[in-house]
Amino acid sequence: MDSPRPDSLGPNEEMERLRSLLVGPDIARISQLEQSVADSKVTSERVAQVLPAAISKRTQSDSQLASALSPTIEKTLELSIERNPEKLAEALSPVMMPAIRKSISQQIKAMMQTLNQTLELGLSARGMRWRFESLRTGRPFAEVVMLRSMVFRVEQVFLVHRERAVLLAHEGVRDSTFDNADLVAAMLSAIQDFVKDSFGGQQDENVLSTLEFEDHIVWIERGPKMVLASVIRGSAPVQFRSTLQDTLNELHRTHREDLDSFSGDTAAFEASAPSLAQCCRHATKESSSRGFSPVLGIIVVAVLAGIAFWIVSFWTHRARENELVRLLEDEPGIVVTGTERTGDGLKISGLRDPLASDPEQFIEVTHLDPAEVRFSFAAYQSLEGALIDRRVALLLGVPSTITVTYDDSGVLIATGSATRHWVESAGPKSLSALGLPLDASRVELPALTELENAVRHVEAVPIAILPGVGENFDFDETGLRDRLEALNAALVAESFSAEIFIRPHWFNSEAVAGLAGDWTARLQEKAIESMGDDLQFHFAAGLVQRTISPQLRIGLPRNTTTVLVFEVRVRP
Amino acid sequence: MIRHKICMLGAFAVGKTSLVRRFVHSIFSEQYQTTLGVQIEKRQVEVNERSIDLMLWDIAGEDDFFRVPESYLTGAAGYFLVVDGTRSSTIEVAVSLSERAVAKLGDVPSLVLANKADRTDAWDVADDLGFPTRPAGELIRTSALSGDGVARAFDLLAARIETSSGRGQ
Ligand SMILES: Nc1nc2c(ncn2[C@@H]2O[C@H](COP(=O)(O)OP(=O)(O)O)[C@@H](O)[C@H]2O)c(=O)[nH]1
Ligand SMILES: [Mg+2]
Repeated sequence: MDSPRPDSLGPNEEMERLRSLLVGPDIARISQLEQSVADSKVTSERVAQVLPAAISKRTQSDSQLASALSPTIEKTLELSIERNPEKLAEALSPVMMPAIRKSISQQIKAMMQTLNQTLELGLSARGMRWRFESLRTGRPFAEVVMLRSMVFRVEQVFLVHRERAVLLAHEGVRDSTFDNADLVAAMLSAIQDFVKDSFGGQQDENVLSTLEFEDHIVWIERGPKMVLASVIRGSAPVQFRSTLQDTLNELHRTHREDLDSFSGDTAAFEASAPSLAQCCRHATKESSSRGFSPVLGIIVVAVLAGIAFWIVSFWTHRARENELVRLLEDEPGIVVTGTERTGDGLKISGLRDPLASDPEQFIEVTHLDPAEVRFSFAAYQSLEGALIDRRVALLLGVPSTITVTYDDSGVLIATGSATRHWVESAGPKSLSALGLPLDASRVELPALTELENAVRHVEAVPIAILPGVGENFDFDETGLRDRLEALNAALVAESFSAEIFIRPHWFNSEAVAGLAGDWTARLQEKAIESMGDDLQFHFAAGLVQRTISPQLRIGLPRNTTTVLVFEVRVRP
Repeated sequence: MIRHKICMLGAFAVGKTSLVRRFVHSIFSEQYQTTLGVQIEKRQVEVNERSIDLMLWDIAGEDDFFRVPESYLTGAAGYFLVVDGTRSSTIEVAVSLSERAVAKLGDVPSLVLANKADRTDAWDVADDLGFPTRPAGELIRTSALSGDGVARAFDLLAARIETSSGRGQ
């Protein structure tokens, strides 16, 4: 340097002087600035300390801060979204989803489900039960449906990595169907992909959210990185989806870093077990939802019993009516020609033999109410065996020892044993009253006692008195004496006595008038004469009877013959 | 537990299903194949003393691959490219599938299998296949029929996947 040196100052000192000459006035300001810069650092640190508090304080008092900041924040967000929209969506979705879900769309879904269930349940037994409950409690049916339809159990929960399609965690009850949980998870992913590919579009809306197989339903909730699939048995309420979504969101938050660095190792997701288990516990106990209140139970049972009783009694009543008709038809002497159900009961019409059983007795037998059954029978005479028997029994006075059967050839056949009297009288009666001949030849007659024999012998010997014989009647010649002796002996042996009536049969009333009395006295006389005084019988006069057949009257000459017939009446 | 999705890629009838069948046996997935067009089987392998579940995705039926849905590949940690050693035309298909897989999955581990190695009589492909494999020229001869090379192929791919995910070695 060739310039002169003003003084002996060193080069540094010179520089300092030069500087003060040139920028002297500014130095103070520079140091002031320096100080200010240092200060500002201090302040931002301090502001950083107080800013949160300051903001919250300011925000409390007015909204000026917010409005001042909002353009900046908006701008920042815009930029951020523009640059990496997925990142933001990913970050926001766990926060936003719950809010979104609680929005109207959820309520519409819930309504839809309720509506579907209501329609579905319309006529099912369950539906009826709920309708009844609605009536009973006065609750709207829809509400009952909501309350009662939530019978479900979450049996399996799968947490699946959405992109990798691998199982991250799994909770659930033991079930052979789900033994290979990771295969299930992979299949779920494949199914999801399949649906997505099949129906096009990348939007989540097109992705399957419900899957049904056998009696399970799989609800699939999708988050940005994970899918939560729950296998449900029964019908879960729509609200349970929210629970699943909340769980999934929470898991997204807690596993954010694990998800970002995921490379196949699921160890980190073991921590999600409690949350998943929580989902599994989410269920409505079948018992509580099935549980009837005892009162309702009793009412239902009573109503059912009532209905059952009504059905049973209706059919019983019908069955009884049918039984009555059947019994009547089977009954001999009754013919049913028609039945009619009228307002006040059953009307049965037909024919009835007066000797047939009383139809009323069958009403009793079938336990029907007599007031509800009316008979309308016309009388007729039945030729059914039972009725003929009855008629025979009635008209012929058939003793219990006799059986009368009706032969197809139109003859009544009597078997058994009976008195001679019955056998002798029944034949003619049968013919006159029933129009049927009676064959009594096979009836066993009782062995005659000594007395009966004696009586019969006496009775069997009519005495014919020829004209002119009267005075000279020979008692011995008639054989009557022997017979009377035998009768007397029998009467003595049995300590009986007897009256012997003499019935003169004659053909000329004038000629024999008084004959009976006359002959009675004469026979008495003769009997005492030959047998002694101790006669157990005596002859009675009277009972005079004429037997005048028309032929005899015409053909016989006057005063021809008189026939004496004996009738013995034995008394103890 | 470590789980990986593995895809079986290759032309029709190269032996993808046979290889999976040879390697695992699981009845479960069969019932889905007709409806979904995909069959998933599982087999556990050991890599460095760690158990790894391989979820093997196989196109079910006799589809040609080009109708396979995009999502088939999604999320795969690795894949096999299967070639039929008796049909050189299957190499072409494998090359085109390989391009598609790289586009979708990026640089995930893969292995080229020259299957039907038992049929040496009808062998129709060059040893290196003339195939841009990674690493170049690497391929494993397998036979689903005899089982030769099958387990080795799956073990190797599993190991590659573990290495690439920063665990292996
Ligand atoms: N010889 C022989 N045949 C094979 C082998 N692998 C598969 N095949 C046969 O090749 C045909 C096609 O096999 P498949 O597994 O269905 O092929 P994909 O269509 O690729 O699933 C079948 O008939 C198999 O039996 C192999 O290693 N050796
Ligand atoms: Mg196949």
